[in-house]
This record gives sequence, C-alpha cells and structure tokens, in this order.
Amino acid sequence: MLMLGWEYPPLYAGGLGKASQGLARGLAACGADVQFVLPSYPPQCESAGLQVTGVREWLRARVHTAAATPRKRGSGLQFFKLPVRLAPYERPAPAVRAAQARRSEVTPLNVEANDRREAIYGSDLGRRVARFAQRVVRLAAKVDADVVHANDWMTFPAAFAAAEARHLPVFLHVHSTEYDRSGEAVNPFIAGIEREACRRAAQVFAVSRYTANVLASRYGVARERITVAYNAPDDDEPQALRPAPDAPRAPWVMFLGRLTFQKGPDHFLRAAAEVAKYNRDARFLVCGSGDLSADLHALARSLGIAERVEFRGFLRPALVDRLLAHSRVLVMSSVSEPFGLVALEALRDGTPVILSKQSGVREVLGHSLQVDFWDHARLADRILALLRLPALGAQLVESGRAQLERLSWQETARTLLQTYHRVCGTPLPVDF
Amino acid sequence: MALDLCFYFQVHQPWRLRPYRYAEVGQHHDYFDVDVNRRILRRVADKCYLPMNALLEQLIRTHAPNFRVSFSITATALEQMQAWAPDALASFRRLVATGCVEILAETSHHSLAGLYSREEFAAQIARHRQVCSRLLGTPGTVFRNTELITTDAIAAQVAALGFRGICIEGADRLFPAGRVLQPHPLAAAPQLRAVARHYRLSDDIAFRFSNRQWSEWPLTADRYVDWLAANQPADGGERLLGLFMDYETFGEHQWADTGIFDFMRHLPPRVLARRGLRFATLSEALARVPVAAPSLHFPAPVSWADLERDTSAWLGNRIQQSAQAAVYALEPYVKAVHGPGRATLLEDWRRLTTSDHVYYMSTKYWADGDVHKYFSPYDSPYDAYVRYMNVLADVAQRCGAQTALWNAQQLQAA
Repeated sequence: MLMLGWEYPPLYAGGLGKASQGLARGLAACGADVQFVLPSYPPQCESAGLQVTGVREWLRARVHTAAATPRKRGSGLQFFKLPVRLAPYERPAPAVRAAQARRSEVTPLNVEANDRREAIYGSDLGRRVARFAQRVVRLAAKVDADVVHANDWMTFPAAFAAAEARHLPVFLHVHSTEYDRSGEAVNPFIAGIEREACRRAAQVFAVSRYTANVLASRYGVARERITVAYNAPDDDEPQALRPAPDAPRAPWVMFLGRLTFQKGPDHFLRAAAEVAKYNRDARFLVCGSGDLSADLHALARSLGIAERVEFRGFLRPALVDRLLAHSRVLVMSSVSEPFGLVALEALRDGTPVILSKQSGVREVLGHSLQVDFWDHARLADRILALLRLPALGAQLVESGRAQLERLSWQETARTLLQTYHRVCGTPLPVDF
Repeated sequence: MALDLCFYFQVHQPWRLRPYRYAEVGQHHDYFDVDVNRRILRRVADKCYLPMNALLEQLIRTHAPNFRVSFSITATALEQMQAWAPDALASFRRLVATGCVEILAETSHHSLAGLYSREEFAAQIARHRQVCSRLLGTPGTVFRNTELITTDAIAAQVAALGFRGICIEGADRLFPAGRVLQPHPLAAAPQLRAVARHYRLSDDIAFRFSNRQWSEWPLTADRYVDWLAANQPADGGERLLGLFMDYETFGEHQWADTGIFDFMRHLPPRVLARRGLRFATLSEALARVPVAAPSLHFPAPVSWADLERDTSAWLGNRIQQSAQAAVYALEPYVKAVHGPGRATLLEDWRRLTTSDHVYYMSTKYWADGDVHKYFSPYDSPYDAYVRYMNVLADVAQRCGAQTALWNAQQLQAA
C-alpha cells in the first residue's frame, strides 16, 4: 500500500508522527507491503523540532531512510521522503486565513486549481500542499500499490491525486479535524479539504469514537463509512529510560502540548490557580510552544500564580520523559482531543493522568480521572487529590498500564487490513 | 427427621455522599446527599420493601405458624426509613410482631470494623441492638457480619460478646460436600455455631432467577422445591439449609415483571406440602439441628461476595485499603472529642465506615463494567475515592487529626 504520512522516526513526543510510525510498523508486522511517503525536512530543522520556516535547501527526492530504522530493515516497510516542506498542524498566517474566510467557493481537492489560485489564497501552505500532491503523483506512478492510505488533511489532496491516476481506493486516517484544532473558527480551506476528502474516500478511519462523532456531525459522514482504529502505546521504548516506579516525585503538575486553543493550556492555568490556593508546594510546568504563549504568560500573571508556573517551552523527548517521570500528575485539558497519545506516554513513565472528557483516549483508558475541560474547580479538585494521595496515583498507573497492554499497533493494523479487504471486496489471507 | 429451610434477608442502605470538594474542607460539614438517599430509599421501599413485606405478611398469616423467616436490617437503613419511608418501617415492625420473623444482629453501620477495630466493632454491634430494640421492638440474636465476612478473630469476638450463632458463607473451601447442611463449631470460638449459606440454591433466586440464558429459566416453585427436597438427609436426621440473600432481590434486582413475587407466593405452600421440609428461623434451626465436626478455621477472611468469596470487593486495591486505613486512623481522635459536637461527629464518622463507600472504589470489574458499576452512584472508582477522602479531610479537621490523616494517606498498601 501507499501510505502518506509524517515525520519518521518521530521528532517529538505525541502526535501524528508517532501515530504514523505505529501504523506503518504495525502494518508491516502484519505482513503488508507498506510504501511510506512523507514530506521531508532539512536535518538541522528536524533536530530543532518542527520549525520549518526560513530554510531554503531541500533534500533530493527519493531519499531512502532505511538507516533511520535499522530494526525494520527488509520488513516490507519502505520510505520515501519528498522535498516538500510540510509540518503537521501547520497553519496559514492569520492574514491569509482572513482572506480565505472571505472566499466562498472552494474545490480544495483539485490541486491544479488550488495551485493556480495561489495568488487568490496567497497561501504558501496551500501551495506546498499542492506541490506535495504533484510529487506524490509522480512517485505513485512508479510504485505498485493496491490502496492509498492518507494521514490527515495535508496528505488528502495528494492521496486523491495519486489514486486517481492509478484507480486506487483511498482510505483516510483522521488523527484530528479542523474543528478539533480551531473550534468554531475553522479555516474553510482546510475544513473544505477534510469534508470533500471524507465524501470521496472509500472508508474513513477515526482514531476514536469521539473523532467519529466529530466527522459525523461536522462533515456528515455516514457512520458505516467510519471505522474506529485506536492508537496504541509505543512498542519499542528503551527500558533504561523508564524511571523506577517508587522514585520520589516533586509536587509538579505538568501540561504537555502545543500552546494552542485546542490543547486548553488556559484551562490548565485556571485550574492551577485554584490548586495554588490549597496547596502551597505545587508547581505548574507548562511544556510546549505555540501561538498562545504570550497570552498564557499574561494569564498566569493576572491569576497571581506567575511564580508558581514554569514555562519550559518546546522540549526534547528525553527531557520530556525526565520531567514526566518526576511529576506527580499530567493534565490533559484539551478542548477537543481526537485521541491523546500523551496520556499513554505519561503512564509509561509512571505518571497518572487527568483526561479531558472531550478526548478519544478516555475510551480506551477507563482507569483514569476524567473531567470536562471547562470544569476548572473539578479539575483542581482532582489535581489536589493526586498531590496528597499517593495511593490514587499508584492505583491509576497500575490499572491504567494493565489496560493499555491490551492495545497494540499491530492490533490496530489488523483492523486496517480487515477494513481494506472488506471495502475492496477481497478475501482476507487464510493465515490472517 | 426434617430439613429446616432458613430464609434470611439482608436489608441495608448506606448514607451516600454528596459531591464534596476539597475546597469545602473546613467550610461545610454536611457530607450526605439527602436528595439522592431519599430518592433511592423511596424507590426501594416502593418496589421492594412494601410489596415484599406485604406478601410475606400475607404468607405468614395464611400458613401460621409454619412460614418463618429471618431479617437483618442495618441501623443506617432503619434510620433512613424512619426519616423518609415510615410506612416501610411500620411494615417491618408488623412483620416482627407476627412472631414468625427473627431479627439478626450485625454492625449498626454495615462496616468492616470487624477487620480494623475491636472497639468499634463492639460499639457498632451495641448500637445496632439499641436501634433494633427502639425501632423494631427486638434486638438481634444470631449474628451476621457485614457481607458475611468472617475471620477467626471476628468469630472469637462475636462469641465473647455473648452470641451463640453466626451466619457464614458456605464456601467450597470451608465445607466438604454435604456438610454445609449442619451447624459447625468454630476453631477460634468452640461455643459458637456457624450456619452456612447454601450459595447455589440462594443464588438461584438472588442472581439467576431472571437470567434467560440460564438453562433452568424460567424457574418454577415446583422445580425449586424439588431441588430443596433433594437435600433431605438420607439417614433421617435433622439438617438445615441457609437461603441468605439481599432483600432487594425482590423487586429491585429482580424486577416484579420477572415473576419473582409470584415465585415467592407459590413457594411456601409447595414446601409445606412436602414431608420433611419446613421453614425455620436461624435460632430455631440452631437449636434443633445437631452440630457437625470438625471445627471451621478462617485463616483468611471469607465473605459472600463475588466468585472469590473473599474481601477483594472492598479491600482489593490500593485506594480501598488507603480509604479504610484512613477512616480507622481517625477513630481515636473522633472518640476523644467531647462536648456538644460529639454525637454528630461520631455519627458522621460511623456513616463513613459503611462498607459501600469502599465497594464503590472497587476496580475489579471497572474496565468492563459490571455488577459493581451497576450499584455505584459514581462515574468511576477513582471519583468515589477522591470524594470520600475529601470528606475525611474535613472530619480530620473537626477532631484535630490532620497529621494522623496525612500519615495514614502516605502509606501505600498493596
């Protein structure tokens, strides 16, 4: 199959990169022949995370990156990096968004049209999505595939362009929607791509029932056209990184995620202000970067907790692990979280989590504390409980880990393969 | 030569907690959800207590004096009835007045005190005697502990308190085949006699009655009486058969439309028509049926819960153990308070010893949802724990036990 995805191996904790990696490996482990295509980044940018702006030199096409995944060499997983700068969660500049919002007619999946209209949209992002699609078409001509599997909206135009040339069915994998990322203030260009792609897809995979509901209500996708395929924990975490389960922990309360509307860092700070009233020792770690950064600093000051909050910015994965391993609780206060892999990573580090009820991961992690993101008092109450009751955290981690053991990328990949065969009307291999 | 059928029905209602935030500690001392407790009690009274009591009273009068049953009713249930369902309380009193109903003794607050505090265990048994005497006109005679939880230590203390009989679970690990039909002495209390629950025949009514997947569904009174009669002793001696179950089986766990009331209406005449079958209260059976050897040992607690028949439904995980350790750590501080607030504080604390609070914290079946979930008013076991511990923090503050509570909380059992 031809899979269109994101950075590999993942550059940072959580998110689309890890999910793409898990899916690709799971499929390969199930015996599928996976050709994985991703936009590439210059190496120096990879090390700095996801900052892709300001870099001129792109890698040459068709860079084979087997060296990056020595474990899987010869396993049926093949990589192509295409020289297009695309980052997951990338957004057009605000001025461009406003211009787009004024446009009414959009035929987003027609990449040629989009390309010609780039002056209208004035969007570098739109142009790059289109260019990625063109390159994928050229590549697809050389690749033998039965299905095209696309991960999130930036690959959707490319998927349809490639599939059209070869008459292949397109399977979409929705890790997040524009409505998750932006609430009601959606970018109509992106929402248009998502709606149209869902309409044309052979089948849509959603990372949770929560996301399936969003697709059904926002884009009118019929339920039978959506298959839920849950994310899973990483299967190859180095054991050495894991802390001793009884290691002493500081009264740190951690937020980990992009500082954007979707992730609800403001709700985290408002709950933190409540916690601070009753617990003199608690410190609040905000880990991540994003467009709300300045607003959040101001909010912390106006809530009177500036001295108790540490803004740690974007962190390397190893440092994230270390901070998680020393924190008493990870708070996921997302306004809308299609899945929430960060919860799985916290549990792996022995850290209990409080989940937003507006999340997908709660469907597979009943052993968790769950609150509505807007219910700051209740969230504060749960944080206070974890700070003073060690038995609570210990039980949540123990039972949560046991529950997560039932999830695996290979099992999710089997769901994908079964769905491919069902939708395409081909029989499953006898040894499946 | 006869088989004494001993029905014993358990009646209990806990004082459920209202949502209580840590931010309220030191501000509010009202912990119990009056609306929820009243609503549930009223519902159970209407669906179970009142119709089943009426049926039993009618059966007792029709077959007097041959239809006889036993009840154990907690003080927390009696006092909630007194407040919100005096009609139900009156109907229980009428049942007792027939002379065909025996009341059993237990802890007033359906607690696990027998596992944690000898002093509080005795105090709650005494309190239950008081409340039963006041509201039902008679104290209990034979003892049953919360959820039939029995250990050697509990048996010894129950005997020392003057009881001659105790109800226990007829667990396979305690009884060789057939022995469950006789009272047994207890190794830890040789003068105490244990009456065992016949779990299969009890659960046929309490759990399986309405299960359409059950091969015996639908169960008729005739067939059930055949099963009972099959336990008659071949040697012509006296035996007993313990049919112990939650009273809410009738009308609440098994709804009226399952036919459970009709089943119970038809059972007594069919039993009494058989030679060698009769009904008896627990005291009567204990007086009649010869004791079997050998003595029973309880190296670990035995209860009537779940398949494990142990205490894992209440103490199976860290948060449950933490909650119980914390509530009993407050006992000496609560009891050291004197003056006008003492009675209220003591009663509040006792209501927190009720085993239901830790039952709601069970994670045994949580992920899959199950019987525990059905009986819980909480979103999750963890929510139950947080609410409970928030309340304990306020109780601790009322009796100056903050440090003791903090220390108890830092222990991570399991």
